[in-house]
Amino acid sequence: MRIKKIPRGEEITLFVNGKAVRAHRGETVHAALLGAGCRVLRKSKTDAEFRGFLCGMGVCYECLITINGLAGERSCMRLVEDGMEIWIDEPDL
Amino acid sequence: MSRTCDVAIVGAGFAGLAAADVLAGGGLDVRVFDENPHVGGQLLRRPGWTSHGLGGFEFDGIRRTGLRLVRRLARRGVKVNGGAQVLGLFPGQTLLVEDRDGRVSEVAPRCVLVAAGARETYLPFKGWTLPGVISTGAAQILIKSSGMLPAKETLIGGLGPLQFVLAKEISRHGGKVLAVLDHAGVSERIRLLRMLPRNLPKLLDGAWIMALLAYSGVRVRSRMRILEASGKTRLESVVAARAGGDGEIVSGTETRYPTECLAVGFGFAPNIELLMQAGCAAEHLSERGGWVVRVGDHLETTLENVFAAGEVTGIAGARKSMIEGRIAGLAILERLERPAPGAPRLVQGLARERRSELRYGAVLNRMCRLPGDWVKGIHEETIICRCEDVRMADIRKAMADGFVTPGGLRRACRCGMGNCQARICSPIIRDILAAETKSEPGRFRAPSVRPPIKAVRLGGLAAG
Repeated sequence: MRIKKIPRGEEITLFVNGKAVRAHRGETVHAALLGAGCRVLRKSKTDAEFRGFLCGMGVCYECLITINGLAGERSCMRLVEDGMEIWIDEPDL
Repeated sequence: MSRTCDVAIVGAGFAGLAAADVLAGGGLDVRVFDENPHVGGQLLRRPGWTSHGLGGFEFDGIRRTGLRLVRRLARRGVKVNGGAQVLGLFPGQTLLVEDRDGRVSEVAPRCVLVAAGARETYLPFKGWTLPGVISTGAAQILIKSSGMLPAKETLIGGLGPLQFVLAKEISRHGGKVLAVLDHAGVSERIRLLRMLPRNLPKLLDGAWIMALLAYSGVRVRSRMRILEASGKTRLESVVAARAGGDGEIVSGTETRYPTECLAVGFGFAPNIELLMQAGCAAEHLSERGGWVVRVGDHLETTLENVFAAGEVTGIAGARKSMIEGRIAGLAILERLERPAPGAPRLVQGLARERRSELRYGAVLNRMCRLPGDWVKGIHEETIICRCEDVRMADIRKAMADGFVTPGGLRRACRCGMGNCQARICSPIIRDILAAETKSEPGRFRAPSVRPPIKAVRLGGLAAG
């Protein structure tokens, strides 16, 4: 949920599992995904349980997603870019 | 050997920036590396708009001081390499650095300062791996970096002062806080607060936050234990109950909170991995927040020309980090034969301030210390190592088989072998082992860390 009445960067478009999603420059990828309602980001390695971000500061590696074809990117440590192609594990989309 | 620069600083938080300011002021070539895309550490993040309005006021004024520091460094032309991970620190102060584009290269400064900060620690409960259960720091970061609330309605739980700060931040930005479930009781809080009188600004900030919360109608419930988080694919509800004086759950007090976000935090652990990998000596000091790097009065570690400042020498907050950054900066200037005028007097004053902040830190760390009895309440199905999906039942079984050290558990059930390299589960495992073997948490050896200390792509490593 974006906070109202604060200055934001220019509006850009991300593609999440092929679907266009609005975001703003300066936002981190995990925040933009949350803004789009995506809390589930991936499945755990062994038991395939759904996971989302925990620490938000690059420590826990729970928010790993695929960005522009590269798997295993920490979404909390990357800023959004226009046209970024993102793949996450369903089912939030 | 040709040197890349005079000083490399790992971490662009308050300690790293304060040191960079002193060193650049002394005319040295300084490079700062930080894996975050934003400068200013976890306290500032993307600075600017959050400091406005009544709710943004602080008696302590630390954020204003930090913003001034960031502006001064920009004027001085000090370059902060954001999105750059330091993968290792090797003999001769050589750092292996992965830049934001994935290229790996060596940086060989004359001195290194490690100011890698801290991370949060957790008390695991059933369902804490569900999407929607996040750390209090993660919630703060969403607000500060991206202007995003963690949810329409957020439930907050845990120990320590951060949960109240978060409740205030959410309320003043138009979000709703369902409740703050304080692990501690009111009497414990008051006892600890009585230890703070020498730090009036922090005491006033605390009172101010509580007043704002009361004004916003936020419910604070004390002695609450989170029993379970549940939901199908993501968090849907949380069950919590009240604990009696003996720590046992009072039956009939269970409450279910429907929510899509629970923010929890139970204290902090210093990020000493790089220093451990380099071979610096560490010590376990509970008043400093657990395993910290051993430093002398001038903040040099047991390795020559490797200095440490900020939370890595003991958890005590941004003000201590800033003071230590200055002390380390002055010490490095001296080492590189560019002593600042009046440095000995300056250092004396800073050392005094540092002692006062360490006293505050001791209260903070005590506030976040859990009594050992929480371990027996962990449900069998609770995941302990999130990376490898290792559950409490696996840990108990391995312990029954005689694996009663962190290294033993790693070999027995892969606990701590995943992507985060045990950063999340190691403090938990140590608490579990200490409680179950009835020993002090400092009994086990300091974490052993091997390079690369963070995950890196093989392509970048091979090309570099």
